[in-house]
Amino acid sequence: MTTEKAREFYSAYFEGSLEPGLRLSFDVALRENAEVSAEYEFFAQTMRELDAVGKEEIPIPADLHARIVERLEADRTMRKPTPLFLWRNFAYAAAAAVLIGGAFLGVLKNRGGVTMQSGMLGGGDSGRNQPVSVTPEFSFRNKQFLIHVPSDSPQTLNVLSEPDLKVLKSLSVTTDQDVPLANPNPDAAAFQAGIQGQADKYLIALPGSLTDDAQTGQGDVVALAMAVAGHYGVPVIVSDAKSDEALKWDFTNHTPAEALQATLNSQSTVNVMGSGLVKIDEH
Amino acid sequence: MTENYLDDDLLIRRSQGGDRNAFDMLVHKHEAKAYQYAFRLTHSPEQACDVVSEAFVRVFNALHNFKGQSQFSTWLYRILTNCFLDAKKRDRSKSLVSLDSMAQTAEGEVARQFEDPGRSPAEETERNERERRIQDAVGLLPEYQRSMIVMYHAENLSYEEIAAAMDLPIGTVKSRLNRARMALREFLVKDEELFKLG
Repeated sequence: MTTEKAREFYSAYFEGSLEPGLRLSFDVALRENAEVSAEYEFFAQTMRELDAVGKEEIPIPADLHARIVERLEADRTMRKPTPLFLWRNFAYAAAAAVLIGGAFLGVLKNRGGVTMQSGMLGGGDSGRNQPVSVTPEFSFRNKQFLIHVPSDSPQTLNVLSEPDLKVLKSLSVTTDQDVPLANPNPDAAAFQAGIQGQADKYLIALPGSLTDDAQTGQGDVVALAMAVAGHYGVPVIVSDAKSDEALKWDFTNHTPAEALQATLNSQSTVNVMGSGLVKIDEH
Repeated sequence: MTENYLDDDLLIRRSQGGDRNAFDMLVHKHEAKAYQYAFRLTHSPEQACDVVSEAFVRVFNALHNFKGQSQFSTWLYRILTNCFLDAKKRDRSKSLVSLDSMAQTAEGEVARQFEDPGRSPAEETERNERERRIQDAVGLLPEYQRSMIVMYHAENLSYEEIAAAMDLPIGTVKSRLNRARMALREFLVKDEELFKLG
C-alpha cells in the first residue's frame, strides 16, 4: 500500500471500520513505511485532540431569543401580503400584427409543447358565431416566466392567489404581449391563471429566491408543484389541477421529470420544455 | 409540562397550522444548541447570533414544506450550515477581508489565523494551549470541512446524520471528513514542536 493510498484510510483505521483485508495491508504499511507510521501517529493524536473541540463551555447570550424574535418580526414586516408577484410592463408590438394574427383563425398551433387553438378575430364566416377557445402559453426564458395569450382579440387574463383564489391581477392582453411574472419571495409560490370566460385554469408554481433543500415531502398536486419549483428552481404548470390525491415524493437523484413521473399516477402526463419549464397535465 | 418536554413533531404540526406560540417554543427548545454550533463555526458571538436568527427565519418560512422525513434538528443543522456558508459568501463579496488575509485551497478560501485582540494575557495563559491550537486549526479549515468537523467531533452527529444534514452520500461524508482531518493535521504538523509542548 502506497503512502498516498494509506492516507485515504487513516480515519477508517482509527475508527476500526476498515475492512479486514485493507486493515492487514494498512498494518503492513504502518510497520514498513516510516512516512505512513509517522503521519498516522500524528493523525491519531489529532483525532484524540479533536475530542476537545466539543468540550469547551460556550455561554449563550442572554438576549439570543429576543434577537431571534426580533429578526423574525423584521422578516414578517418586510413581507407584504399582496401582491405576491411583480408585474412588469408589457411589450406591445405593432397593431398590424394583430391583423396578421387574424389570418390564422382556427389554426391549431403547437408552440413549445403546449397545444393551443387560436381565437378568431375578423376572420371568415366559418369562424363567426363559433365558440372561441383560447389557451395561454407559458415559457421560461432567461430565468423569466412569461404568459402569452394567443388571441387576436383582447382577452382578459386573470391571475389569482392560491389557495384562497383572490384576484391579484386582471389584465387585458392580446397575442402580441408577453406577460412576465416573477416571485420575489424566498420560497416557491403558487397561483392560478386563466382566461376570463374559459373553463381551463392553470396552476402555476414559481420558484423563490432560495432553493428548498427538502428532498422528500407529501401533499396534493399543488404542494408537489411548489416543492418541485422550490427544489429545482423551475416553474411548474399544472393544467386543470383537479386531483386532491395524497402524494408522496422523493427527489433524491431525480430530475424534475423523473421525480414527477415517479410520483404522479399514469393519468397524468409530464412534459419538460427546453427551457426547463415543467408542465403536468391531469387527465 | 414545559415547552422543552413538548415533542418536536407536535410543535411543528402546531406551527404549520399557524400557531406562533408553538413556533416560539420550537425556537426556545433548539436555540441554545443552534447557537453553540454556529459559534463553533464562526468563533464570533455576533456572527453566531446572526446565523442562528437567519436560520430560524428560514425555518419559519419553509416549515410548511417540512414533512418530518428527517429529524427537525438534522434539518436545522443543514439550514444553519447554509446560513453560515451564505454569510461567508456575503462577507467575501463585500470584500470585508483583505486579499492577503485569504488563502486559496482546493476546497475554497480559508481565512488566515488572526490573533484575538480582545483576549487578555491572563485569559490566554489560562486557556489550555493544546485545546486552543486545535480550535484555531479548525478555524483555518475551509467552511465545508469546518462544518463537518464541528458536526462530527463537537456536536457528536453520526455519519448518517451529517449525510442527511449536508444532503450528501455517507461515503462522500466519510471521505471528506478524512480529508478535513488530514488538512487539520497539516495545519498542526507545521507547528509540531509547540504542539508537543502542550
